[in-house]
Amino acid sequence: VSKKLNRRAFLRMAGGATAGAALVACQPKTVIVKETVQVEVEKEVTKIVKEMVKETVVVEGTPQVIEKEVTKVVKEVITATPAPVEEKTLEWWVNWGGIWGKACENMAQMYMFGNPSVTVNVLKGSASLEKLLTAVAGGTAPDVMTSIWTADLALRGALLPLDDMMDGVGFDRDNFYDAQWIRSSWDGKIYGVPGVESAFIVGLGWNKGLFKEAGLDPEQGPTTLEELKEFSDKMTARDDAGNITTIGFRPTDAIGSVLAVWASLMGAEFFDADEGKYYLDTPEMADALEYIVAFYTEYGPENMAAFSTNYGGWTGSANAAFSRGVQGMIINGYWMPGELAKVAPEDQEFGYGWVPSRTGKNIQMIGGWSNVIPANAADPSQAFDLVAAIASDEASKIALDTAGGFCASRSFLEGIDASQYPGLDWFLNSGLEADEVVAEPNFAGYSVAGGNWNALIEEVAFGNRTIAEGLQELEEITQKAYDEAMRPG
Amino acid sequence: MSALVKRPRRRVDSRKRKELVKGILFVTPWLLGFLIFQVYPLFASFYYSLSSYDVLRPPVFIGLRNYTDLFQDRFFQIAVRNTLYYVVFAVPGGILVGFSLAALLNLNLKLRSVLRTIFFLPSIVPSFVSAMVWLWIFNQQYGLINAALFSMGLKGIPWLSSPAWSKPSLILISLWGSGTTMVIFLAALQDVPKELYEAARLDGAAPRHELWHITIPLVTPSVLFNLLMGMIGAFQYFTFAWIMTRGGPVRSTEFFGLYLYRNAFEYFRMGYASAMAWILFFITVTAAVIVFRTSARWVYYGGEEA
Repeated sequence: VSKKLNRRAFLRMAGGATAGAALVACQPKTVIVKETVQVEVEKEVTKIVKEMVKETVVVEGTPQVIEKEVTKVVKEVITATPAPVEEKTLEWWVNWGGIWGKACENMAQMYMFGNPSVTVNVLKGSASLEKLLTAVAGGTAPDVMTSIWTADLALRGALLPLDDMMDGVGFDRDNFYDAQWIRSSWDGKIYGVPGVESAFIVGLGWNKGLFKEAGLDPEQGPTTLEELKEFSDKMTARDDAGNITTIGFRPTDAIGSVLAVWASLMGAEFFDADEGKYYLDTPEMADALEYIVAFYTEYGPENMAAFSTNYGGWTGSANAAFSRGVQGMIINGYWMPGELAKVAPEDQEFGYGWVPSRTGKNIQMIGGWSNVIPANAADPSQAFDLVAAIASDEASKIALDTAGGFCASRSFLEGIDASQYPGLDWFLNSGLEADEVVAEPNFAGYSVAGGNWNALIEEVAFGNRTIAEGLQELEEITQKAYDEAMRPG
Repeated sequence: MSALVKRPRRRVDSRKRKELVKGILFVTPWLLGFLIFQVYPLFASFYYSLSSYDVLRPPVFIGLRNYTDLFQDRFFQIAVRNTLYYVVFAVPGGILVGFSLAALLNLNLKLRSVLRTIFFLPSIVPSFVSAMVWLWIFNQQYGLINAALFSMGLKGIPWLSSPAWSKPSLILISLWGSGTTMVIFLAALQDVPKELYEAARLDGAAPRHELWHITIPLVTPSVLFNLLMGMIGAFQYFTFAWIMTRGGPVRSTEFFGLYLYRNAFEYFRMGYASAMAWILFFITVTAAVIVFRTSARWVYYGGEEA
């Protein structure tokens, strides 16, 4: 007899199936493994107790009685239900992919090994400002994220202050340097803990092979800014069509793209924290801009742009111009020796030294990343546990081995093997030998200044703007961004 | 008697009411989506455009300041100019290429179906993938086109690294993706009655006369559609410029969408970006109204009185 399935019957069946599926999904996890282990442990303990009782001199009572009592107690202890271990999952957004992304994954593995009930999901290449902004606003922020925008996020209430949590677990703040805390703080509170990558970020790297080819001493870098330009001109080569095949120096490559670095090298102080004023339209900044633009004028702005398109990334990328041996010099951080050891061809040798400055001083800057917890994080306590673990020496060793960089703490630097990567020792010593060690800025509005600085360099290089016009405009835009950021509410 | 008349009407009303309830229930998901994801953001963005709003803190009402600031913002003016340039060249260019391809593929060619597929394919390739391929094609030193130019002893073109070439390069990419326009024109061309061509030939019309006096007038409704859709898309142009040039060099590809995005998500200025969005809305609506108003003069709806 054929039976037609009407709509009501279908809905009833569908409802039943859904309820069944929900009930199945709600049932507790299977405990077979737990019970098997329990039986095995009980057997082992009973066996040990029997042997112990045999060997013990019994003064009163019989061995069987003692054995029975002890076994009973052991059984009670073993069968007592252990406190349930809560499974947790933490989302960690990191800025990098490539070797640094791998280092972060290895750090997460380290943490999960010590915390088996916690799963850490590393989302690589995710910690961009726009993504963090929307995630925090939408209540979908991760538990932990790497940040260099601590001031801009903290002043808007997007981050959780960590002072109390640090004190609660006895976190040793003195193990890190003041400059690192400046980078991770806002308005007297700490919002981030240095982690993954944080140390000395200014050094000049040079390719010894290209120095030799240009008739330069491969053991001696330039000592003045004028000499830096001369060296660069000697190494720069073009093909028949006028395209750059080898470039001596690109002033805006890698850390050279950071406004604060050039400001320090030219002796400019561009922000007054007491007044809350930016001073970007100054002779020192004009000097910096003029110096940088001279490279574009000399080599052709279009050729420079085309060359940059061909070779992407910093020294951690095998496709970067400096890593591939088609760029003579670069301004980059302490991670450079380790990264080059991993990605550059083995036959290439590199030298390291001070970036020449206008003031003649040896300038070093401490910068890098910190790990922050969004204000609406679901489990701040567990998140901080991860943040603290990433700041550990063990995690830094993982970063050093995997990516070539690290997060510098006093204890880590005491135990570091500087010979691991040729040239790393120069960076480690530079902190002690520098005439001036400054902190990378952590001001409101600085990200606006930084973004527009590089656009301004292009505009001046292509002749669309004069240096004076450009700097005046940059100062106005940045000040406006600062004022808007600092508005009450 | 009146009760007998009323009874069936009540039954009908009750059934209709039930159907109405069911109908409302069925459209509720869409209705909720429309209210939450379209109507609310529309009104919210208008309020934000009158506020200082950084997404993370509550908006503060500042009146029309965002709008007045925008008209003094040099980067905004650059973005408007770049966008208008793109609209003026990419939209008519896309229509011309789409129509030409459709006309070509409407002929009785061998492998016509294969060719149609090939020309349509670019419009369904994900933008990111296309952008990566074009980055390689346009590479100044090692790119496909410049390699061909070098081999002929010519000088390479700085496609994406020169402010003079960057916008034309992006327009060229947009023309490559004219597949959808082509398909619409192809359908329109196949609707043109063959008798008209036969009659024209009997009257001694040359092919160019057929094109000018029969084909083009009869596909003008499709031209209008493609023009409107193309214009709306071009005013919101973003993806290729963001992936390939990030607005450079020298802000030459800083389009409206890019500058809006930067303000909203990089500079913490969602209020300012919302004001930009409303200005873009008015520009687009104005352009669409102008096109509609003039369409009576140049769009031919076969047999209908304008």
